[in-house]
Amino acid sequence: MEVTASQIRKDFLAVIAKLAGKNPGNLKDDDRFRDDLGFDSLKSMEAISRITEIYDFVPDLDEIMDLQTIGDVIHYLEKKLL
Amino acid sequence: MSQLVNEAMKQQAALLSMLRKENMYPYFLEVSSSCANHITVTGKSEINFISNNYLGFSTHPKVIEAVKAAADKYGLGIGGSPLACGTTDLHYRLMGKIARLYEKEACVLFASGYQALLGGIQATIGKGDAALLDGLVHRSIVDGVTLSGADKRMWLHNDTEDLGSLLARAKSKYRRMLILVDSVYSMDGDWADLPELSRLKEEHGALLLIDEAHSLGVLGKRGYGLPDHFDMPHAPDIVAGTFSKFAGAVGGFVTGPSDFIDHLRHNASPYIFSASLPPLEVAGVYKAFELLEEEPQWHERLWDNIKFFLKGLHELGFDTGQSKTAVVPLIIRDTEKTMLFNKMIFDEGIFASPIVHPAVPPTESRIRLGVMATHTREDLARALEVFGKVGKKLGIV
Repeated sequence: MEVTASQIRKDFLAVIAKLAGKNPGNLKDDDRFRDDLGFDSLKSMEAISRITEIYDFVPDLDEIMDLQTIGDVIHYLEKKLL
Repeated sequence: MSQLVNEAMKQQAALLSMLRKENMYPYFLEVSSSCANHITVTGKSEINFISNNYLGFSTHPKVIEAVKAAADKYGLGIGGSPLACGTTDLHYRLMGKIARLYEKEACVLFASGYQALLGGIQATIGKGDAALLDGLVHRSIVDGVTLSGADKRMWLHNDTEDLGSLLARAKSKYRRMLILVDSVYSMDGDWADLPELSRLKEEHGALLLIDEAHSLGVLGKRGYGLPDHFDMPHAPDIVAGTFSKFAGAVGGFVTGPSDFIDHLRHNASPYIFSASLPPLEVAGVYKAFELLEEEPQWHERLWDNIKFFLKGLHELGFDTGQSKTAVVPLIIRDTEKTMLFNKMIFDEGIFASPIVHPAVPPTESRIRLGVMATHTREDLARALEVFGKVGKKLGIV
């Protein structure tokens, strides 16, 4: 199945919403993982693992761990997967 | 500032400096008394709600007597690692007692609870294995997994459905899967669902390690922790814990099958490369274990106090989250109010601990309280009175 930008957004928001204990509809692109969603390094790594499972894609950890917001990661995933 | 402090460190230093200037800095305060229900902090007597000495055993006269007798016989320390001259008859006696209590074959003692988890995990799993951690496990577990080289996977706190789904996805990729939980969670005071964890581990062929730090001495009919509470002594494959809570001392343990414990004794770096627990400490901890049997009133009093205190806090309108144990969070959800609350209760004679970002998300800021068996009703009533007064003043309740 071809990956689309809207599918990436939907999948990523579903992963983050589950880990943050929030409704995907309540997440915003400028939400910061650490300061707004309370993600620690353990949760951030798990988010990456879960995305890896969906797309069979291993991101560069240095690159992805530098990204601060939901929008930043969606943009990064679009760049890598589309 | 020295060259050892980088830009990020400087930001933290500025925040700490501001807190100190405002006389709000709450950490490393000088204590000049024992850790009883009342404690002397910076020269001022406070009711002690910061301690994990839940049963008050660190000051029990029989514990002190045992410590003195061991000091007379063995001196300050044993002068070597457990592997060398650091395993005395007292160490063997305590290891045997812990193994029997948890219905396991063998036990090994570590110099701290942190080291017990670090070494217990580091020497057990490795590359090709998966560690499946509850999202709120103690840092010692996270560090143990990092040191082990195993893949680290996190599941949502106490969400066994999420764990089940993770186990199903991970099963085919790994040689072994080790589920890691705290029996009682140190910041929330809730406990792990042992029956469901046991079912899942059987279903997926995983192993289970529980950290009994805040559970031993608290949970269970006899105070023997989470397995005692659920009457499931054989559910965990590995039980680790610390003496810093139930005995108010220091030191840790891992107990399990004898071949596994023997492996730890020869391969767990924190065990091999640390000096052995001093015999005087081991003697005091052993006596604390005996007190669990000989003086069950402390366990009963602790639970009376927990129930009284939680009820009082709920009546005042405080949010204590999922707490059901001696760890009681007052969830304030605002960093500044949490720091202010802590300062104001300290000025009123209550010593507690503020937990703020980055230890928890800002919306989870809280005061962490530890209930003790040795708290009197007057202590608890006074604390409730102060919390109510300060809570109203800050608009928390």
